[in-house]
Amino acid sequence: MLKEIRLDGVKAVLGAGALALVTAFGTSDAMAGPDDDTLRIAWGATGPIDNLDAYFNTNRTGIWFARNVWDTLVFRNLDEGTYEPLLATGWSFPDDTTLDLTLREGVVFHNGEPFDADDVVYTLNFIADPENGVLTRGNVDWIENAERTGPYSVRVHMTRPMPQIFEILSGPIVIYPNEYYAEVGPEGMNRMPVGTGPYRVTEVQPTQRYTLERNPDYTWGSPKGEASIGTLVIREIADVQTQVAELLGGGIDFTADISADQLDQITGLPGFSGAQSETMRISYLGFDAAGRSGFEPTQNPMVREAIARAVNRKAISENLVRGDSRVVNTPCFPTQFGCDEDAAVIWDFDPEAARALLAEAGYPDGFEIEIYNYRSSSWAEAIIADLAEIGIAANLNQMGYFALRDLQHEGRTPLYLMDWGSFSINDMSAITSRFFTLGPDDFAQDEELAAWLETGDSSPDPATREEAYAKAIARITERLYWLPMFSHVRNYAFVEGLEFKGFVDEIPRFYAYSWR
Amino acid sequence: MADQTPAVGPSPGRIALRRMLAHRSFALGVSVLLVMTLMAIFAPLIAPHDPYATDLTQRLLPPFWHDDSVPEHILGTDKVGRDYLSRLIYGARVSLAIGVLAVLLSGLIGTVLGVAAGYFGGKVDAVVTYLIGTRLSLPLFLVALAVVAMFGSSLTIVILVLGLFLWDQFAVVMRSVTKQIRSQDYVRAARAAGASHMRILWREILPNVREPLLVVATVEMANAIILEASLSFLGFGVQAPLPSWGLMLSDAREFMFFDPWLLTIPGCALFALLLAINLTGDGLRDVTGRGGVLR
Repeated sequence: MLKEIRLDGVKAVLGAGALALVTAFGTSDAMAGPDDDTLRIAWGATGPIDNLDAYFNTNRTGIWFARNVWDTLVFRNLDEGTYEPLLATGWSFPDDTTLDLTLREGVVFHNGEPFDADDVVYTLNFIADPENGVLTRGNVDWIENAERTGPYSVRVHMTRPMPQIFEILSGPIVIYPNEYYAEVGPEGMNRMPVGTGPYRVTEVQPTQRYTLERNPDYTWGSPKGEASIGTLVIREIADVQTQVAELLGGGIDFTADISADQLDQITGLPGFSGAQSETMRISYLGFDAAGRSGFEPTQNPMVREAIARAVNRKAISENLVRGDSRVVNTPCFPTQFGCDEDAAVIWDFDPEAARALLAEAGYPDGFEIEIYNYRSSSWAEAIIADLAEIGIAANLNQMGYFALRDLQHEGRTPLYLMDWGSFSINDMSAITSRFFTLGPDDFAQDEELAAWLETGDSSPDPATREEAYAKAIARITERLYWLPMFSHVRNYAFVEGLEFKGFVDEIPRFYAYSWR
Repeated sequence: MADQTPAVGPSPGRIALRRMLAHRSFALGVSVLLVMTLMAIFAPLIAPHDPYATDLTQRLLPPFWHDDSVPEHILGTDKVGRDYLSRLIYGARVSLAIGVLAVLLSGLIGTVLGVAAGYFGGKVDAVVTYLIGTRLSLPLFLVALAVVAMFGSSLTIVILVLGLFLWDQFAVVMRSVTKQIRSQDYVRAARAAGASHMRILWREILPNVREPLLVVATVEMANAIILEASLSFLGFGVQAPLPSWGLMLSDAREFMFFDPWLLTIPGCALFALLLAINLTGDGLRDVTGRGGVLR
């Protein structure tokens, strides 16, 4: 899934501009990274982190930040696919809705506060309280409350059985210092985040720049390991071209926002390296099957099938997304729990059949449709060209993510190319259930489907879950509420000399990087 | 103005033509403009490929001056494998259509308001001056952003926004020119002879504001084209996959360090068109003797 790109593939054509930039500034500045033990990172192509408090942003980079600054109760070992102790050293379930945790001793927060049961109880109770307004309710609404059962033991009462609990405990649920958080709240956590993680924050200029330093107290044997690089300077740079210019000019050492094309070009230059990995994020073409937008054609299953057969997903995945991207046939990422590829109905590319279907559906001359998109317009433009082949004139509505999400919630999008990264939670509930349980994102409004997903999300029995999810997959792909498109790749470019380590869940762990 | 034509010798039209041909930058501007216009009109006949036809296996091919170029795509291909030359040719259509239509609309609004203000003066003038002031206080990009948010973005919207926005220069110039003309003897004579306002405006005023109107029109046309490109570049203008030079520039940003030709080709086309329009406007001002020195 992950591969390092080597320099021997130097491209024949080097852009004059890039070469000039490198020769002008590159040689001296680019080497500054290892010399002063500082890794300069740029991110933020989809917007800066609104609030560094992990519970009050929904940014992908917010997760990146959180993994380096805070710790979770449980550690997910990606290589083995197992869950290991992190802040919790042991756990047990007296019944389906109760969890007992034993906590690690000897851990201290960055501000010197020692870690104990009070921190876990305070954090869990804070995020469970709807009044506090944690943004992603699905991550926390299973917590009824938490109580202290000893200085290093905690009992968690759950609102429902939570089969994917370890994904949540090893992912979005990070533990805060109770005294500090009670005093400063989410606002103060944004100004100066305090955790137990491998990096401690020393400077924050909100939405612009964060400085992180190696946590000297991270010596208690965390499975994450101690950080190697001394200082991280993170800059929020929204424009990817500016990030590339900064990288080539020596202003930054690392970016993860570039396209596969840019990756090829950057790694073709001396002094730079790159890597690429497939991610859990999948794109899908969503149809307004329920007729929320009032648009007739997409309510017709034959029209949806015609579109599904007209779009050449393989060509887009191979030529535009590139790298390890592959066509996905399920409304979830295949490694996620419950995401059974055999349950999906597969729609092969067949423009002839598409044309016939369209005629049969009563649109022999096609129709005009609005398609909505927020990511790379190339993908949408390729889809538009494919649809034009069968006579459907699709008008592109390109806009920002939040604008498009609002339009969707108002039910105004008949056809949309969207994607979801599941917060890197390796469980189908993180994607399929979010979109098909009659919420504002649901353009199927299929009650039977929602019931299956509900069963899959809350049943303690894995076999029951799998069976329910398989039915859901079959329904979504057969009726084509979504046409699952392809998996995304994350492209990393960095200065040579950085020992990069890639992870399949689209989360760079800077604490695992080092200088060669 | 050649109102005292000698009995013998060349006609006024011929004199104007001769002046135009002698004015080198005007001739250059008009020729380039003519070529671009013909290119736009006959785009379907000239363009070697369908500008919308994608071929994902043939993307980002370099233009002819690169060693690994492909003969069937002289200017290479874009990020989804569309022929760059064909898109450039069709792009001229979009730019010129926006330039011409936006200027027709804004010219109409500006001329009506300006001429009315200049001719009637008084309250009419006060109202029009107020409107001009109001219009000048509105930032185009903010309005464009609001309009796009409300109605989405399309070619029609861009033309309407620009057309309804760029009339201020027309109104200012028409107002001052009309003010000068209305105190001329022939206007007074017409009024003394009992001509109606409509007749005076139509027969005496309008024919005499034609040249300054044309000069303003060229300036505003260039302005409209560059604004369309800017709006499209920022994502508030026309929508992909319509071949617009502004959009082509916007798409090329991703590749600007490594495939700079993607940026330079539409950039040069835009530059040439704007230069041609401005040269034409300047030349027009010179050869008609309005507001400039005769050569």
